Formats: sequence, structure tokens, C-alpha cells
Amino acid sequence: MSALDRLLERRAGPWSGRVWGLVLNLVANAVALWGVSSVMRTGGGWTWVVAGCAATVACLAVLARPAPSPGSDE
Amino acid sequence: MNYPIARKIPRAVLDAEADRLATIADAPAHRRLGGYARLAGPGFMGAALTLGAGTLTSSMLSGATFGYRTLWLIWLSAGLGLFMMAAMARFTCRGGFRVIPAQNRRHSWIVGSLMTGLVGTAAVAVIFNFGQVALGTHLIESLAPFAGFAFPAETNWIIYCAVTSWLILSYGRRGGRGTRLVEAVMKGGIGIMILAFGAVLLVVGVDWDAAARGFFVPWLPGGGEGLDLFIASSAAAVGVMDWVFFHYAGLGRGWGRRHESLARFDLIAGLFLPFVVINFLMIGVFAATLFPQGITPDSAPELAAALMPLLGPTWSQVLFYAGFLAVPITTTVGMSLAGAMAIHEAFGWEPDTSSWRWRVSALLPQVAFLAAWNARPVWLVIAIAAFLSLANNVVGWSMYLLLNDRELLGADRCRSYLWNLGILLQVTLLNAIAVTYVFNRLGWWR
Repeated sequence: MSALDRLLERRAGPWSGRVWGLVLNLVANAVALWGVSSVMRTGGGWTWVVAGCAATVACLAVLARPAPSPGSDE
Repeated sequence: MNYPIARKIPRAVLDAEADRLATIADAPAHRRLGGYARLAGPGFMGAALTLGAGTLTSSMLSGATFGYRTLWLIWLSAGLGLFMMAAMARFTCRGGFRVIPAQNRRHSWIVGSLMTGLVGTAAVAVIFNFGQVALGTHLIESLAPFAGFAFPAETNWIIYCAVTSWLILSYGRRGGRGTRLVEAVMKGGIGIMILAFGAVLLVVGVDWDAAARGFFVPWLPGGGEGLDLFIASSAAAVGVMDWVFFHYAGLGRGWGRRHESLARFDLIAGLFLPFVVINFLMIGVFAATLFPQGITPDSAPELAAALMPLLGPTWSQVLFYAGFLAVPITTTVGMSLAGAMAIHEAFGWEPDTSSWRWRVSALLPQVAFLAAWNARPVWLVIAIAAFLSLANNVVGWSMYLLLNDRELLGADRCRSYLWNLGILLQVTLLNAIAVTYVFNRLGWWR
């Protein structure tokens, strides 16, 4: 099991890494949309758009990893 | 078999179906597809449920406002929804569990019973049925003069509710024959829509070049309007109710491990293709008629009325109305069944289709007969829309987590990166709906 898989499956506080990843993805989506809204209103805010989109792509790339077999925990 | 509705199907019938599936699994492709088409059902029911007044009004408006240019959104949104629907097929066929109780156990009753069952499915069934009844009774009223008499919505709702109630109460009865009857009506409804809208499209003509461009070349209106249209269309084609209904309708047919290929066929041939074809036809009709004239009415009845003078012969007007009438009828039936299944799961009741509890739950959406007088519970619509906007993504998260749950699914969990990615893309679009809703309320959106 790779370090990334361990991170996704391990419990941290109330939730597993996968749930925290989903929360992080939601925050990234909100940042990107905040940027889009800012661009539409003022013409500025591209940094938020790029940061939000990049974080979203990173979250999706990690969260799409299938869970490893139950026997491969160590 | 852990779903009571399936237990009413005689063992011999289920065994015969399993034998038939085993036989056609090794048959040549054309015979296999034909065999699957005869055995499929929940996917067609899902399409009939999804293709309701809201979806088709949105297509009509899209065609009247943007012509063929948004056709690509149809296959994209329906295609994206297939990843989540395949997860529901996995839960049905290989999971051996019922999804709402599983959510209750793994993610709390707030996510399972409340968000998925009561709000995401049962409340939506009641609220959205107002739109179906309003459209259905209006269409009956519009059709009656062609037969030489008047039949206003204020009285024809009795016919509408009687027919749909009979179908709703037939489900799960008479040893599975009632279920097959409802499935046959749903399939027939989809067939009528395709024939009627297809014939009308032939009458009004198609600009094939523009249609092909619209189907394959992505285009959106500029600014926030384009973003709103993209997010709403991409995420809303297949939602929580469709996920729940497909899962439980499959369980109601006694689907198990041997049915997963059939379930996937059903998703593509029964759900995806009818959804794409019927929306294509509807957009095409309005792109060819109202769009060139710049007419963009607001509601389905206004859109249909504006279309009539442009259809030419009387038969094509009747055909359009008749095909359109199949839309609310099949959606009312599908939503009512989904609502009854969800209510029973949310409260932990065993579904017994001959019980009073089932009948009351299933007929609850018929309170929408009030729509015949233009009555709509506006405050309830606003509250449900708000809750749905904020909760749908959480239900999507829950389904993704169940599919990757090693304890729950073991070796049958998702093992495909692409499958997970497809589900996550849909979840991200649902997140975007929730975020834009909040931004809108705070006055931050545009």
C-alpha cells in the first residue's frame, strides 16, 4: 500500500482521508467559483480561479485512486 | 434476495430469467442485445422518470433561445451521470445491501434517511409532481378540442390522477406481473415520445449541419449565463432520485450478481439513449420553429401553444400533444414509486405493496392534483430547492464513499480509476451548484 493510499484510508479525527479529500475539493471548488465571480464583477481575480482549479484537479487526481485490497494494509 | 418486493416474484420466474441471461451471455452480439432489451426495465423507468416536465421545458427553452447550439450538453450531462448510475448498479447487483440503510450505518441517518430518502427523493416526488400534473392536465385540456369537446383542467385532473394512480398501485403486485406492466407502460411512453417528437421534427425539418455542429462542438452563451447553464445542465440530468430509483427498481426485479451486465445495458439503452434522443428531438423542434422567429415564452404550455401555428397540419399538432402527454404521466408514476420506496427505507419499514402504508406513501405525490387550479406551494418549492442545492453533493459524496468502502463491498468495491474520476466529476458539479447557491444568497454571484 503506497503512502497516498494510506493517507486516503487512514482515519484522522472524525473522518477518513477520503472524506477530508472531498471537503478539500469542495473548498477548492468554492475558491475557483469565487474567482470566477470576481472576474465577472471586477475583471480581476484570475489568481483565485487558477488556484481553485489547480487544487480541484489535484483533489480529483488523488481521490480517484481506488481503495487497495483489505489484505494489503501494511 | 433482501428486498420484499422481489420476494413476491415466484422463484420459477426468477430462475427462468437467470437461465435466459446465462444463455444469451454466450450468444452473438445482436441476439444478446435483443435478449437484454426484453429483460431490461429499471433503466427505461429511470428515463421515463427523468424526462419530466422540468427537463423537457428546459430543452424547449434551450431550443427556442439558443437553437441547436446546446445539443452537446445533453450527451455530456447524461454520460457523466452514467458513472454514478453504474455505482448504483454495483450496489444492486453485487452489494447485496439496500443503499439507504447502508448510508445510515456508514454515514449517519442524516445522510441516508434524511438527505437521500426523505428530502432528495420523497419530498422531491411530491413537489415536482405539481409541475407534472399542471402540464398533464393542461395537455388534456388542449387535446380535447381536437376531438370536438371541452375538457378543462379543473375536471380532467380526475382522469389524470386515476390513470397514474392505477399504474402506481399496480407496481409489485400479482407476482411480478404488475411490475412488468408498469415497465411496459414506461417503455411504451418513451416509444410514443420518440415517435411523436420524431414525426413532428420531420414535419418542421432539421438543419442537419447546425444540428451536427451543436451536437459535437461545445458552445455556451457568454458570461455568467453560460456558466449557470453548464453547471445546471451537467449536474441535473441524473440526480439523487434517479440513483435511488434505479437501485431499488433493480432490487424489486430480484437482480443479483448475474444481472450486472444486464443492468449496464439497461443504463445505456434504457436510460442514456432515450434521454439523449428525446431531448435532441425536443430541442430540434424548437430550434427549427421558434428560434428563427425569436419567440421565447417562459413555460411549457406557452411554448407548446406558440409552436402550434408553426406545425401545419392538425395531425402533427395532435401528435405533438399526445407525445408530450406521455412525459408527465410516466414521470408521475416513476416519482411516486421512488417516493414510496424512499419513505419506507427512511423509516425502516418493509415495503409491502398490498399494505395501506405503501399505498398512502405511493399516492402522496397525488396531492399535486391542486395544480389543476394553478395552486403551487411556493414556499415549499423554495425550501426544497434550497435544501436540494445544498444536500445533493453530500449524497453524491456518500455514494462515492460507499463504492470505495472496503468493509462494505470487499472485492466488489470500485477498482477503476476512470470510474471514480467520472463520479468525482459529477460530485464536483454538484458542489458547484451548492456553492453558487450560497454565493447567490450572499449576493456574491455576479
